[in-house]
Amino acid sequence: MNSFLLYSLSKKDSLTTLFEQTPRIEDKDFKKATAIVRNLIDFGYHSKAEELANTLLKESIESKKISQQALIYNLLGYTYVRRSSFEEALEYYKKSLQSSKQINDQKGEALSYGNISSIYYDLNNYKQSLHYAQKQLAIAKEIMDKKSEKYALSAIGNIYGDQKNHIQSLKYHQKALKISLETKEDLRHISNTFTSIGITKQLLKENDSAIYYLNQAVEYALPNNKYAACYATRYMANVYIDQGNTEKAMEYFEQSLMYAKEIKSPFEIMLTQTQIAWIYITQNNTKQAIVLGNEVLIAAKQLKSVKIEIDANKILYKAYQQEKHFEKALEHYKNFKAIADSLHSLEEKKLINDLQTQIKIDEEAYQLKSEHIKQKNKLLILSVIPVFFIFFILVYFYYKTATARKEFNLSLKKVEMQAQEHLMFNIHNERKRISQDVHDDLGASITGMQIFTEMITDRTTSPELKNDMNRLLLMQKEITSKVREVIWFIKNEDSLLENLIKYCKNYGENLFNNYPITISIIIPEKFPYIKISENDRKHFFLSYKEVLNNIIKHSKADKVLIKFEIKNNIFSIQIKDNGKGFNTQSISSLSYGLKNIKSRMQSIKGRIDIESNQNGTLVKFEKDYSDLSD
Amino acid sequence: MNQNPQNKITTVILEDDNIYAENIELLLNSTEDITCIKIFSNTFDFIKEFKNYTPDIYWIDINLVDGSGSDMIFNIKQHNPLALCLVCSFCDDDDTVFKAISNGADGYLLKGESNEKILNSIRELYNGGAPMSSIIAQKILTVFRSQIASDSNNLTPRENQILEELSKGLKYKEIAVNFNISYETVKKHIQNIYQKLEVTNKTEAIIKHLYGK
Repeated sequence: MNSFLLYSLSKKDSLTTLFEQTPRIEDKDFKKATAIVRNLIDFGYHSKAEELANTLLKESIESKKISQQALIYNLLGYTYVRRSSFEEALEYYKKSLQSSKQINDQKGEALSYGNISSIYYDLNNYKQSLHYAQKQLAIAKEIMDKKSEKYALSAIGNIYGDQKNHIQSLKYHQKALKISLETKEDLRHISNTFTSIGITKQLLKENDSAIYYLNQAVEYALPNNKYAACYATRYMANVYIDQGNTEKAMEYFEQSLMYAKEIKSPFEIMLTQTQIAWIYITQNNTKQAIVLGNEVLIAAKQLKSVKIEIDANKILYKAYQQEKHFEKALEHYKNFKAIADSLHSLEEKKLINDLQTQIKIDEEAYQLKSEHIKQKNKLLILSVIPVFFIFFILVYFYYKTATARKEFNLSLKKVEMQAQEHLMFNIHNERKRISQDVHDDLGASITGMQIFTEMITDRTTSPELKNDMNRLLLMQKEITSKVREVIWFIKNEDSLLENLIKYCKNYGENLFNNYPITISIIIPEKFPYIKISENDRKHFFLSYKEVLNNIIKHSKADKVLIKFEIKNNIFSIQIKDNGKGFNTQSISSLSYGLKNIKSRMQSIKGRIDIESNQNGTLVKFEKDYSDLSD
Repeated sequence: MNQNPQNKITTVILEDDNIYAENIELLLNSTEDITCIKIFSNTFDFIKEFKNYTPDIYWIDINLVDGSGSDMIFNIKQHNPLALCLVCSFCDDDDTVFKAISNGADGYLLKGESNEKILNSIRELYNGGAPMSSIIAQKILTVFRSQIASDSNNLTPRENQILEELSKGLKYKEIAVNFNISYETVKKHIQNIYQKLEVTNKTEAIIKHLYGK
């Protein structure tokens, strides 16, 4: 027996009396006392532990030491845990939590959370267990209590494991392991965590990895933590069963059994024996199986472990079946079935509970996620608004510049048109100049010849010859005259009416090319030889141009008909459009340059007629060239 | 170097048409009182060497192959303001005529005149006259007429110029380009012209300008 236990037992009575006598308890004494209580609990002396604890509690309440109260509550809870009275345990743990909160003892708070979490775990209430474990974790992180943190992580890992969420389980166990390995003080925890990871790895079908971890677990467990070693080796054996290596498995089971016996844990012994019995059955070692099975059965009944009872019955049923001991087999089968059914409903309940926990976990995760998304969306919108703003500004400027660009393009086109006009004009003039030069040269030569001919004529005495010479001279003069005419003609060809008409037609066609107006221009088939003065030419053309411009700017017409006519030497231009017309009487007709046109025609002694209504406008100007024609 | 031992009227000819040049030289030299001392057939040579000669009369053709006779007249007059220049050209258009005259031509003949006319013109010029073909004389009268009209109005020279261009049918923009002034300036001038001539529109102004009062 533990020496300390002996001491505790002995001390217990004296201590009780002592505490009854002296109301104030020093903290260090208090600590010793709590250690004694714990020891009593561990060794099953629950009632004695409870007694002492209650005394301590009374003291701590009277002396108003809340920290002490918290500790005592925890201990009391623990006694109940050991007696599997989970409901009572829970109550005390919650009281401890309250006390810790009162004095703002975050460490105590964390500890209480951990305790409560493990109770719920034992009660298979994974939802609550997770909840409290997370609370423990939060505080542990805050106050940087590594011990509390790692226990919380382990607890959460176990819960996830039970939920079959192996990935998460692994995550948490590994976190816990990391912290534990930092200090390497708590070898038991390290070992157990290795085992948990190993089990998870096996469930994830990573057997080699599982073996590695379980080996580590065993290493860390020995030599002091036999419990952990027993645990690890048993699971190691399971892995080998999974791999079909029954020999290795048996080896490890026997090791596990050894440790179990060393720690005198009937429960562990029972568990291991069950596993071994199963191996015996697969090995057809029925005799051993039956022996072991019966042993386990008795132990299970004693320890009130229903599950193992079922297992034991199952084993025996199988074994007897093999032995062809059918009566016995049937008996055990019946037992097994009966208990199984009652357990089945329990299992269903557990399944439902599991599902509920899963749903709760999922729900919380989803809430967190949606909040996250909400935040993200908020951020997105906030960042998008300025983008939209900039976009609209850009669009605005684009439209602004678009109109400017349009105008620019338009004016560019105008300039182009003007440049083209200019070019045509220059080419035309250049041609004329060349032509004139050529004829000029020709003329010079002929007049040169004239001089000579005249000289000869003067010198000729013979009248006949002189006559002939004179004729020759005349011919030359005629040629000169013709050449001069050509030059003059070239210079003044523009002043032919025919050319004015052609020029106007060309001009009109080019102008309306740029607008959505259909135009048709009619000119005479034959042109009489009529010359018009520079003035006439100018005024006709400018008036014509003005009317066309008016049509474009004001009329909103889409059809224009222009007719040039020379009838009985009367030259006329008629311009008809299908626009909206205008009031010929109103003063605003000034703005259409009509007054200008009128005065022009007046100045060249021509005539102008304007008719206009809402269907269109007809402008006619004409001049009589009868006296000027050839 | 005395090129003129008999004291004839000396002439230097600038003419690029070889046929004409040959024949005019022949004609001039056939007289007793006129002689041709040098013939140039292009402005390049003329500019290079004309200073070596001092004829009584320069016989200048306008349409030369590499330049204008009018410019040569300008050069001659610069070198010797008292030199006499007789233009003999085939073309008779206004611009050529007036340019020649404004550069200093002292007489203007059209090619094709009779030999008699040609020779008499030279003598006339030598004796201080101003020989002209009749067509040319008519042109000058017309110009003079409008010049009088311009002088009798109180427009500034610039305004007169603009009015002249207007009469030719130029638009304000074209006038602006021609005189290298802005469109607005042209408009302002025109406003002044209207005011001074007491007219209200372009047509009236032009009529006044061309036909006087």
